[in-house]
Amino acid sequence: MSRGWTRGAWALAALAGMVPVAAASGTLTVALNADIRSTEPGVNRDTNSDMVLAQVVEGLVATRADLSVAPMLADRVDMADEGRTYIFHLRDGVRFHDGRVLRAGDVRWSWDHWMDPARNWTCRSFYDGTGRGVKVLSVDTPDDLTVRFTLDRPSAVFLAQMASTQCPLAILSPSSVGADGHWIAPIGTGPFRLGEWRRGQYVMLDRFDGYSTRSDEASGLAGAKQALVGQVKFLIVPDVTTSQTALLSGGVDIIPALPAAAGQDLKRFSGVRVHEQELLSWTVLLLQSDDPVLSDVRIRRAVAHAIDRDGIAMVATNRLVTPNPSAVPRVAPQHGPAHDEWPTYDPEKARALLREAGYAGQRIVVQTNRRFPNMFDNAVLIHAYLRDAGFNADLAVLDWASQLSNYQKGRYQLSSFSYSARFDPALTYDALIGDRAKRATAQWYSAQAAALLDRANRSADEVERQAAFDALHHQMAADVPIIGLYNGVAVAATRANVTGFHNWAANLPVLWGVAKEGE
Amino acid sequence: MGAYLLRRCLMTLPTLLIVAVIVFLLMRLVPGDPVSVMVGDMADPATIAAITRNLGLDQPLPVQFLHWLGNILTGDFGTSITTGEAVLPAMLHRLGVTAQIVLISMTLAMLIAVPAGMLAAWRQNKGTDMVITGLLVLFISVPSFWVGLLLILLFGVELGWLPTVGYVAITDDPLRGLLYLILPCASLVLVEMGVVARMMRSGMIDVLRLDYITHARAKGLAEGPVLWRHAFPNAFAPTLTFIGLLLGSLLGGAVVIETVFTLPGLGRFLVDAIEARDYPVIQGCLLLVAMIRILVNLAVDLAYPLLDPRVQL
Repeated sequence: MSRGWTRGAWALAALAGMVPVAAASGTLTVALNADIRSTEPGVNRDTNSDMVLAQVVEGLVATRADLSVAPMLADRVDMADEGRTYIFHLRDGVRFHDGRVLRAGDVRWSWDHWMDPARNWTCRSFYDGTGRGVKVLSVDTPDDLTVRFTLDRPSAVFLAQMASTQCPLAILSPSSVGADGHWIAPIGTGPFRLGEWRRGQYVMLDRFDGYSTRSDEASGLAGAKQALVGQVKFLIVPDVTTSQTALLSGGVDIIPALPAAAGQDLKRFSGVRVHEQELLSWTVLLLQSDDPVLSDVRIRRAVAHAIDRDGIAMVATNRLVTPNPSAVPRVAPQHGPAHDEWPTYDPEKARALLREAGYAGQRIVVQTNRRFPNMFDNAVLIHAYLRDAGFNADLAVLDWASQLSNYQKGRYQLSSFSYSARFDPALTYDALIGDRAKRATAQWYSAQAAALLDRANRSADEVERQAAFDALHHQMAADVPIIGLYNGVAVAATRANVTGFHNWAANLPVLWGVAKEGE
Repeated sequence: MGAYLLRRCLMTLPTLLIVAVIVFLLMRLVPGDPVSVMVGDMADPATIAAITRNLGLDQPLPVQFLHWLGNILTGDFGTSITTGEAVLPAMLHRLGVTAQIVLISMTLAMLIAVPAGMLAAWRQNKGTDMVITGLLVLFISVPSFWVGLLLILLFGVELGWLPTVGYVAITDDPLRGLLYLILPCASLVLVEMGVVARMMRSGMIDVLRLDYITHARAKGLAEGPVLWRHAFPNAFAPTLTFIGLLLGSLLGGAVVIETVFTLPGLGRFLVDAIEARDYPVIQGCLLLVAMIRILVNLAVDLAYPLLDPRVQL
């Protein structure tokens, strides 16, 4: 019996030897917790899709790690006509993955492609005047290496929006679509090109040998990019525990997104490095100020006083971040002491405000989901704090799609939520401020706030913009249209032989400059 | 037999139609829609309205239903809203992955569990029975995901013999494909074996008490023929029904095993689609699952006369 077992074990070992368990030489294996949604940037997307496509496509500009905007495919960007005209001078010699050389006509083609309503590009309304952004009046190509965008009005966030990671204005080769306009694959200019996408299994990227790198220092999505591995394999591993065991066994090299507790767990292993990074994303408690109870600012202030944001940030992020009540991210240069102003944790004061407002125990429901553990943890704690302060609070655990739909339709009282990364604070305030009758996702309808936001949107003067952001937060602390909890934190883990890996505030780890030692 | 088969096949049509109506309506009644998930917190109402229009989701529900049903009748299950892939080939591909795991596991589980259950029944209340029953209770009590994780830790991390993540189709590379199947199949075998063997033991104990078994023994037949020729067919019939139900359920998606072992099977495909409110995929998958269950039940019914000649179809 025991000899049979031994023989079986040897046979398995022999078989295993024929198939390397660790990633093949030159291949960096990255675990994704879900498949990408599509290969069309900014159309049908999520964080995983953004991460994969950021290695493949580039725009005229890109965001640095310090959140400033840098030229990418453009050699330089000139502004004229008091900020109404942007002139992009393209780098010469940049090639697409299909071998074609980038010309101004390709930029114009890409612009037309994304602005075609049939493409369902989620950021089209920022550029066509139908949304809250600007209206691009024309896109001209005076010569092969120059593209000129003319806007209806100056915009301080035009370039930041262009460099957005969620819907970048990606410059593509026309061969990305078929003759009838159907999407094939992104033929971009990035250091990796799309290899094979086996849905539900993996996405393979191949190094693009014809990549023309910039010479300035690599930072965020900007600067020099050098692919140091032959292939990057994004392997779909939905279960956190499985991805952790795969990291330990060498089945994967990088896990870019882990719950904070799982990252803490992995620190025990010597063959693993854990990377933590505070993000731009903003975790909040949404308040429905149209609600009969919450329309009273005293009740909203009572909610603010009832919640211990320090405690929530400590529990939900394993002490990795401190609270941030402001829509200006803590990692943003515009974040200063003025943005820490907020009603303090004071349950007694909350009870007094409830009495003053005549609160008669009306039921208040906190919506949350289990898909995002931090949103769930936040909601559980908020529920407890509210009950402690005298609110008749209940918890409703929904699936993410239902909660998201409720957010978009304004169907909630309190909702544990998170805003994705926006590169300029004005873009985050833009998501908050507005008339709920016209846009149910708006949190804050205030003429004064709208005027301040308009100033921040139009002005190119950083001092004036800073004053507008400071004033916006001051007013937000008084009105309490939303309760900011903390900025997100990304926890990633790599095997010890992986070098050059780092995340940045946009939670979009870049895989150029990353290598595996010994291969 | 032919008339029975035809009648059963015709009976599946109204069943599938009812399933189609229920699935379609339920998905529309549940809060959340594919466009919300697609745009997240980024888009404004104009963009949402445009995407909704482009996807045809602004049409009245009866129009959407008839459009979908009409396409199904021509073999077109539509296109996934999430990934853009054609639903039918995607479903069949995922079903193939699930079927590999499930059929191999169920075959192995039956090969082990049926003799084990018979042996336990034959040696009822003896040491052998207690050991087998004890092991079966242990297997039944342990969740499949936990067994899976333990197997991954042992054979993948500690011993390094088997891959911990990923999937290779047997058709692409038979040897590597088999390696990737070992752990998920082992997890399923351990769990399913317990249930099937318990069922078999119970059926066998009942049959061994019947008079015709006593009569067979009194005739001087050896225990082997008594057990296999006389007791097994009658004892196996209820177990077969149970195996049919189990098989139908597992072919519809072994979600937990597929998730733990990163297998691109039908169960994960369906769960992902539900989370994304990918209507064409959800509707297509649930129709397929209903069809699988009907076919498995039909196969079980057709197998009954082989075990018990008294059963007439």
